Amino acid sequence: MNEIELYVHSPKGTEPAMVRIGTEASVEDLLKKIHEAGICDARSEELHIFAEDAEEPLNRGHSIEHCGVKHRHHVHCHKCHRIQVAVLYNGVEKSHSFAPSTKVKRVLKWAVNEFGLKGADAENKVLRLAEPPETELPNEAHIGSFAQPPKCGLKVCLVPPIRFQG
Amino acid sequence: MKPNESLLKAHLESAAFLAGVDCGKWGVHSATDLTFPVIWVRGDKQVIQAGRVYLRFDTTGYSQQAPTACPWDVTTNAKLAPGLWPKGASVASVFNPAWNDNALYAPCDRVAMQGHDDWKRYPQWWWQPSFTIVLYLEFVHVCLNPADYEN
Repeated sequence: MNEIELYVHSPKGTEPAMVRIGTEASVEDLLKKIHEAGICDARSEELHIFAEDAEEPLNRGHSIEHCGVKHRHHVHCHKCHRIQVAVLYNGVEKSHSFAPSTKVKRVLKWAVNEFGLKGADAENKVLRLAEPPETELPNEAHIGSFAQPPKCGLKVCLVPPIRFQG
Repeated sequence: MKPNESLLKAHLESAAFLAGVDCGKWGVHSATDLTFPVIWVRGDKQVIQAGRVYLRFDTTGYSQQAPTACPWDVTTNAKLAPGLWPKGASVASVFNPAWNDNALYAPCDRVAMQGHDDWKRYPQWWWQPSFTIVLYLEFVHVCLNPADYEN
């Protein structure tokens, strides 16, 4: 059996963990391995696993190979099937649901379009958690990394990035 | 191997660091001396014409102390000439050789942190001993790629 390494993201933070698994193993096996490694806290039967930027979770009965998941691909393990993201900009709130494995940059792009920002207004914007610690969401991170179950949502602000001045 | 070097070695082998390498965000140029490794970070060509910035780190005291780094010319093995530092609104304060050409003006840089306790209100970036080199690289990558979500 060919063994591959996968980057596994979770609600525990933006930095992925690495899991080694055979390509013939099932998604169910992967979930059990992730649970046993302490990467996700819920029971494996309560968890979903998504390929990066995919809308729906991987089928538990299928093999890793069948799902098209390859060496050093990124997957996201989360208890929530969807993450409801509310974005605040200039006192207006708009929301949309995304899969947990959606990259922040896709959410940011959606928000910029949804608020009709163009040209200079659209440039240089980031998403920041609306509540302390007001973390700035890195564009390559997964949106699910910022939603802590049992909450399946988060509120963010669309703002310019912090400038560190003297 | 000194404690700072063995810890850095472990962090350079971590999933978080390797994920950045695999997607081309950063990579090790030279780590024969783990106290002074040279690591590159990809940057928007509008910010840095070469498409990447090499940083020579000083990891003395890592990770109890934050690292510090300066742009490095790998062809001459010397500090990068100020005229070749990244330019643009998103990087002007962080890459500021007029302030100090030995460090980056960043809340995760050991030199810049001195006298900037007000930056503690940004706990995401204010260095903590539990942080790793990946946090510093992520900060630099964000600075160098201001419109990355469009790609």
